[in-house]
Amino acid sequence: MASTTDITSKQLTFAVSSFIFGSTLLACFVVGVSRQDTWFIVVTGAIVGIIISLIYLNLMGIYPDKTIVEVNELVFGKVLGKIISVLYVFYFFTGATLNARDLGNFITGYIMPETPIVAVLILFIGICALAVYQGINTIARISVLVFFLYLLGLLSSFVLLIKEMDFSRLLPSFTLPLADYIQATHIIAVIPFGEVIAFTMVFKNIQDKKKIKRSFILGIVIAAVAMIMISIKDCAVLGSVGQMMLQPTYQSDTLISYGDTLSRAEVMFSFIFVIVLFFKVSVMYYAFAYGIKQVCKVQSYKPLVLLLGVIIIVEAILLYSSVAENLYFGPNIAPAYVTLFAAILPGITLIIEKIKCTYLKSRDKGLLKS
Amino acid sequence: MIALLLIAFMIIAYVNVPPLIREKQWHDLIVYCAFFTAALTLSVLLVLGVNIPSPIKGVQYVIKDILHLNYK
Repeated sequence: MASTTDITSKQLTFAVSSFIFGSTLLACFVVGVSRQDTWFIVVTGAIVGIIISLIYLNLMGIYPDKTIVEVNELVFGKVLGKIISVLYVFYFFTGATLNARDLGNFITGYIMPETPIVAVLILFIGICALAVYQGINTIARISVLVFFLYLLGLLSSFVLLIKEMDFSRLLPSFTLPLADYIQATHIIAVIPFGEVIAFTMVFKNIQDKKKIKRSFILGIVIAAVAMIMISIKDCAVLGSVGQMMLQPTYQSDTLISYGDTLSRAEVMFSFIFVIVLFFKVSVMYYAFAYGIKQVCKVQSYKPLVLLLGVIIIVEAILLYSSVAENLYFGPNIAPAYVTLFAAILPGITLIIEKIKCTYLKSRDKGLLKS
Repeated sequence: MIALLLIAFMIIAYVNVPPLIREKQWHDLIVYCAFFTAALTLSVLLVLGVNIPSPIKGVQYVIKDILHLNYK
């Protein structure tokens, strides 16, 4: 009988895609760097992102019933493992805070400018706390709905904007300096596709462990295709103006107008943005809460959910004094910060685990021989 | 504003603490109290307008000024 915390591998695909969809609508980081070649950068970034994800997929394949927090303690020993687990929990915390702040910036910047950001954050984190309290099974079931809602919004806005598209705005291609391509690929490989490491806290709840790798990478591929469509749509509709905007996807949706009836379609975008970011923050929040549960060795994370929510809200407000600092952090600091947690730490963990395995195997072989 | 905050925290404690005491989960209760104090201090300081440094600024300082791993 399946327990209440089991999720299927299909739900994992939907969940991973929905998670990355949340980052696709925050394209402002990379569009300033890669300009009209963003679609190509998404392709290269997705390939690098898949290679990076193979690192921690292999690591979690060695310990299928553990989360990455427990794996750290098993591989590095008690003291060093605890320190690294605390770093991971801090990473999930900053992931939740940064995304919550992004939502707050969007709502107070575009939808309700007179509202203080605290109010938006309290409502938003309150609902995420409810989702996290219900558990990962609920979040996985929501992911299917989020996935199809997002695809519906994406396809409808793409189709409705075809008359505004001018594909010559995607030219000239491949004329930027190589350093920009490398920076942009790095940004895309880690911010949308690297933050998915939050799902390593969820792998132990999946029914069929053999299908994890396939479903995970399928989710990344689907999200990459969606992101390519969005970057082509934004660049074809807006051109160079879109590179200066904070939310090029939102601004391109404002151009949808068919007679007097079909206009102001950016409202549709803002609904989908909120829903998709809700999913992303919920998963990060769950990873944070579950990580705290395993680091502090508490029986259940459920009593702590509201308190952690308060800490996330306070931190989201304190994060930056202005949006401009956020815009500096994204393309310049965040790649190094996220690479540490998505690629370097899992890579070191995997290497040490392999060394331990071969050492123990050769020791056992030696014992058997003698 | 602080009164609202304190009322909210009292509601949170009222909802969460009795089950922990009933089940005699003392370790959980200690961890809960630690996080409760942390959340309470942070939110009261924020409401009072005290300038709390954010950890992201710390991360930025480490990556930019110490390790020089930033792009620009």
